[in-house]
Amino acid sequence: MTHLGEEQLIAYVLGDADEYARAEVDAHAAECETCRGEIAALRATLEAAADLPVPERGGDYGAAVWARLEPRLGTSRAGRLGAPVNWRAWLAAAAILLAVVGAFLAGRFSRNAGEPQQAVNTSTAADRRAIRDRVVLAALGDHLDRTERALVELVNSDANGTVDISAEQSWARDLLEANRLYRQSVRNAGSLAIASLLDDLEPVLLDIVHSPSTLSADEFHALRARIEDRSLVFKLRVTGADVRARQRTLIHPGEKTS
Amino acid sequence: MDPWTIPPAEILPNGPAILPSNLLTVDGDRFVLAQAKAGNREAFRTLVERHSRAVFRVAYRITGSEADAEDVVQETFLRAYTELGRFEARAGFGTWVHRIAANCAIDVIRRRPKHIVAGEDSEAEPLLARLASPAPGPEREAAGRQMRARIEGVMQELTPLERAAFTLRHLEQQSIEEISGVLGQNAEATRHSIFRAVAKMRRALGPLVRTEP
Repeated sequence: MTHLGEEQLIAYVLGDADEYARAEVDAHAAECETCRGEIAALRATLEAAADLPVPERGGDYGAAVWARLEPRLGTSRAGRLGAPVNWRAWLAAAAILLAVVGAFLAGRFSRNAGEPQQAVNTSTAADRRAIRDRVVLAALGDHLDRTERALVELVNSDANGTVDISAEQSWARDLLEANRLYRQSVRNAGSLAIASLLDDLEPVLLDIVHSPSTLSADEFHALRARIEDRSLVFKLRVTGADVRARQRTLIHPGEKTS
Repeated sequence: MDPWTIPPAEILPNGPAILPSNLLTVDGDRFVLAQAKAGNREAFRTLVERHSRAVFRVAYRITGSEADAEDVVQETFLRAYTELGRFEARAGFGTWVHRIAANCAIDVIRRRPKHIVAGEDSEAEPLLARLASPAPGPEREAAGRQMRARIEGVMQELTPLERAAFTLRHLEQQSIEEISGVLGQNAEATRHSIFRAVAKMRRALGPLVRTEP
């Protein structure tokens, strides 16, 4: 009996054989114990190779990579070496920033309470701006709401004995990423009060992310004190309400903000 | 949908909300990428933090050295930052940085002096120590150690292309087409690289795993 060739075996075991070649190998292996053994041995070989361990990198590895990388980036912008400027991307990002600052500043300084509202949808361009503003405000408002709820849940945890905060660490990690994006955007847009609030949030979120997943009662009380000392929950509630009010006025132009 | 287009507001506020979590996970790289391309360094930082571990894993598997893998991670993101303006989001950002990482790792292997193999450098001891099986029994532990040392030895004997092709196909589960793109060669050449790598593995390790029929 002619046995299977090495190329056939390898393609078969790696899953790269086509249907016909696969059927051919199956038919042969059903009759040939030697080739069945070769297939099993090759599978075991590849499994052993896949089991070669890779050194573990912890959850904060990305931060460590960034710490080493950032000084090497200098003061230049991304894509600096000969890359054409991607004006479309730049404009899209600029539009997001403008939407944030526009929604807040326009709402805060230019609208008189008794003045009849101008229809938002007077033109297609105005529609698009309004849509974008609403989306950005919805996203930012939701970020503030989620952060507030998460902190409230954390500070209200039962602190008798040890406290498991692994679930809170998971959401804190997500919120941290979002927080950095919004912070830079609102700062660039000139919304300094919100930027300052997001500035205050970052060390607290980092604190939660980098704490042990199980805290002693004392450690938990210390963490809770750091959250409460900054009045973060209160600030989040007030700012979140402001953002939601701005969003409502864009959806229902006749509605007054508080 | 155009990667830079914000979803229409008609789904607000009663439909599924446009949440930061959506923006950062479901289609998250696109949103963050748009910001990074526009010069938002925090956005690039987010991409780095999100993809570092996966890039390290590929780099380590190709280079077989922790120190080299760390260098590859740095070089990969530096190149990504430099070339971000050229990146078009047809492929995901993750696929793109994996491609850069594989090429950086191949460069590292090519620069190595021929006589250096992983089993002889300063990392040999910790690497072999890590290979020790946690399973009970000194014999099993020794067998596991022997097998892993042998695998590492074979990996070092592969050419850079063979090693990268094998790693990407078998360990990272990439398609032949994707690997061809990474290695800059046609599909047939990629298949051949993988075949040669597996054939060398088979010859070196077969005797350790083959059982008598």
